[in-house]
Amino acid sequence: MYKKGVRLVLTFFVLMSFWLALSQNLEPISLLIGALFSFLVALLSYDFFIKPDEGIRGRVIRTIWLLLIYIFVLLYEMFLASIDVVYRVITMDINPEVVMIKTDIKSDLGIVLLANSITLTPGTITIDIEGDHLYVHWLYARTTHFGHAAELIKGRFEHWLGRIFI
Amino acid sequence: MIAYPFIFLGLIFIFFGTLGIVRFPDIYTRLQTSSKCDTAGAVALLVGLILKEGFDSFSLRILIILVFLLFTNPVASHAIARSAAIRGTKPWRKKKKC
Amino acid sequence: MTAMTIIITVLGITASLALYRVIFGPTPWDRLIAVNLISSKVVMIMVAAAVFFKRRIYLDVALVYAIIGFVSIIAISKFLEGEDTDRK
Repeated sequence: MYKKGVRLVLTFFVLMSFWLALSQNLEPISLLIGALFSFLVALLSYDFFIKPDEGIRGRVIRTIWLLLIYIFVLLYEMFLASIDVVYRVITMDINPEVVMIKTDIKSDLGIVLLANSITLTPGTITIDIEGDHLYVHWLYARTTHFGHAAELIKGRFEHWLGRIFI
Repeated sequence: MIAYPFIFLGLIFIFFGTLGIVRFPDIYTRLQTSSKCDTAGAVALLVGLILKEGFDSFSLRILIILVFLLFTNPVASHAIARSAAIRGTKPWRKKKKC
Repeated sequence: MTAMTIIITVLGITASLALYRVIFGPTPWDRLIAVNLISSKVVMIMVAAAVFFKRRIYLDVALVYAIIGFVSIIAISKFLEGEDTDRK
């Protein structure tokens, strides 16, 4: 999807901004060392950092805004989930089950973010992934039906991630 | 002074998350409290420390540590759950009342 | 100073609670979960100490400790997974 040079330059800029955030001085020798090693590491690892067959749908600015909004939605849901888990720890009122759900997202990065979001939100952790099927452990299972469980677990996350990734 | 409610909330979450590790009956349920309560507690505590410190180059590094913890904690719990599932650990089930 | 004492005391008490699971855990994965928890507690204690003592170097130590803890958890869980990868 992306050309080789674009991937190399993107990897270089990510590494260089990380160097600037960690070293925090703007002397020329520090900038020179950072640029040299960022270029070397980018040359070695751009092929793993951005896979050739995965990309981001639409324009870049809009995608960054959507990702920021997504992170705040994720934090809000995470606090609600933690309050629920604290309640379950105190009362020991649990009913665990393992259910299997299916996702529509194709890209690897999108599936990883979806699995992380499932792990951080109400009472569910992702155990295993095979293709586009996710095995999910549910702390307080309200249903074991395939489609209904998927609707309850994925909720709004797949909607958000489907707008960002292919 | 606005920092202390966040720090208090984080300590509450961390304490009950660790209590869940001791009380729950099997691996997967323990992993639930370990992944959720611990991440929420870490985020609340570090946000409280950032607010106490103020926004400067010092708190930028705390922000980097926060983002790192937020993205690696679910991955670590997923790796533990997957390795336990591959070796055939059965999840604990509640006994049916009948 | 008192706020720092409270934070470090609570984090230390929770780390000792997790130590119970490390010692008496019935399976290796229970011990791994508890070790993961203790490592994130240590990172938070380091960040709190860096903020209250105004030492910038503690934050670098905390970041490196977090990275090493994550990599070691992944490596140990891959090791416990075993060699039978012919699972379908």
